[in-house]
Amino acid sequence: MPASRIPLIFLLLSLLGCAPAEDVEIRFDAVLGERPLRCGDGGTVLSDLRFFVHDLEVVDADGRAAPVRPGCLPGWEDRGVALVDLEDGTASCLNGTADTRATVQGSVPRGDWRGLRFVLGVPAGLNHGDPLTAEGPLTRTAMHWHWRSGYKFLRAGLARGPDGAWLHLGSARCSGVIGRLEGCAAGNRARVVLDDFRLASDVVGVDAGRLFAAADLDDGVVDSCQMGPDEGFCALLLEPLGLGTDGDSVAPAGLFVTTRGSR
Amino acid sequence: MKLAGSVVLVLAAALAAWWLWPRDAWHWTLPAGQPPPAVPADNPMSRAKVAVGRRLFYDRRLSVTGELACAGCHRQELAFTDGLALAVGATGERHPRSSMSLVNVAYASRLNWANHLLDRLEIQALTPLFGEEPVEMGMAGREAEVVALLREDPVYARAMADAFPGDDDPYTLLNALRALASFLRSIVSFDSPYDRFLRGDTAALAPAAQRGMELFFSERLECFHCHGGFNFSDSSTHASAVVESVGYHNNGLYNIGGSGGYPPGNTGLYDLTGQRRDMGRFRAPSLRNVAVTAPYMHDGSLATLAEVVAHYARGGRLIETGPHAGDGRHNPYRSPFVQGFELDGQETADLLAFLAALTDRSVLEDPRFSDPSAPAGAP
Repeated sequence: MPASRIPLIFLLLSLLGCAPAEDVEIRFDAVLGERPLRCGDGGTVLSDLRFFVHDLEVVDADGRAAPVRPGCLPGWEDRGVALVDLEDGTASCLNGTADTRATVQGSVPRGDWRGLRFVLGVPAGLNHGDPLTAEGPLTRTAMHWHWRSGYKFLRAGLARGPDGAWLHLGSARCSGVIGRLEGCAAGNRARVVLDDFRLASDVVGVDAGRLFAAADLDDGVVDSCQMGPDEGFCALLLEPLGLGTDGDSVAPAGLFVTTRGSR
Repeated sequence: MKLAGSVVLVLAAALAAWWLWPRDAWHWTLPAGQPPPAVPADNPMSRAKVAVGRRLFYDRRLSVTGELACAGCHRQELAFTDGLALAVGATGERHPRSSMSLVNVAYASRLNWANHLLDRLEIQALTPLFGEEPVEMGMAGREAEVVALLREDPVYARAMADAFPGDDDPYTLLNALRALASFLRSIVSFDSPYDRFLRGDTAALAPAAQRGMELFFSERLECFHCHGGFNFSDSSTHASAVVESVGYHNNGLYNIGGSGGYPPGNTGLYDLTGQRRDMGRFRAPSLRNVAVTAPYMHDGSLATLAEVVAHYARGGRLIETGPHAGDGRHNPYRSPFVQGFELDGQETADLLAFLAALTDRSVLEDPRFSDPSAPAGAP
């Protein structure tokens, strides 16, 4: 093959989306403002934090986006959906599990990526399917929503002594039957946009303080939301999730922040 | 030689027939003309599945505390209810709703008190096992423990392999759910005095119960609109059904503040749809064995059948004081079939006699539905 044709082949390959890719790891951490947030016993502690992400993209300085192709990691990543689990089942994380997962693995085309975007939740196709025959991270019963819709997209909780706040986020006002849902009037899939995010050094912070800013952690009442129609606390969580009252994403979810990591 | 060859052929054919005959085939004992329940194509009934499902149903190890089996809230002698107004979960948490009967649950077109999204027992079983709001058996996140039990307990190890012979790995949560659902589908009941009366035994119903039957099916009382059909519930289906029948009704039990409200957290279909018109709409449960399933309604707030009849006679319940105060008769979402009626003392007694004639003693005592680990002859 003449040497002059090699750049042409590379060009063709890149047009076909076959640009050389590199494996990446997107790191997540639970935070309360500036400090890490963990399950624990004293002060303000984490009581739950597990969520699904999909449609991950990286963005370059010119705003061009490329998909992050997730891997296939038994129990955690499958069919473009990844489960992140930032609780370890200890102390305040009463209903948690010992296993954790603070990263999403995937591959991106080589490039100078400056930003990260993803969607919180399970895509409709999988969310509306049969939970009994689901695979990968969708087999975990703690994330099943066997009576309201398909899956809990996000389960998050903050505790301070006996007081606290928690959220089970997922699609609501669905029709059809579980296993063969026809649709949900409220999708409730939050959109995350981190404009200044370096894959190599930064961490996606999930700020439970921002999510539960509206909760009073000292009034002796545990504030909760599980997508019921009259749960007043749900309305207060829409803003940090960037969701409108109809369950559509109207703004980036502010509870996700870029945390400068050190590696 | 020819004869010997024929003998060998016949023997071989007999052996093949014996080998291939479905020894595990399941069949229900149903009255003539009664279609069998609809069964999901991916979970056909078998005796082996029913047997292991029965064992799971009575197994306390399926709860986080190891103390509560499915049967704890679904007791056979009470037509698989628990006698409580509100069920109590493994950790002591009180459920907002009353345990439902499981008799003929295979014929229910929808499950739970008010969930239009639930139509398969295999999926429904996930909620009592793994649900968190409220905690019932409290196994959320502990599915690996269920699978370990199936694999490691010698009885399950053999029974699951028998029940799912084609599976490389029969020890899965899905197979446990399939077995549980198969056992529940096996609990059918068509042998009440009323059923025997329908089959031509005119002595099966006393005159009072016959008069009560006339009242039950009258336009004056309208009971049958919601509690009609072979299973006394308009949300019923069967294997030969062409049209899906699903109904939810507000029966005027509450009318908080006069605006139609139901107690928070127990608002019926509204909780899932968010549509105001669904406030207080619940599924009409089957009335089979209703005399042994007290207390009544989704929240067990009516203690006796006499109270239930009085409730419908008034056309809604009046709560005069307290946080739930309101006159259910004026609930704007009340079913048009709950209009109220007048019954004299004799008619009330007749109606109650008919409801009592819906009790099928056999299903309450049938050893096929009892705890398989109980000593033989135990009650």
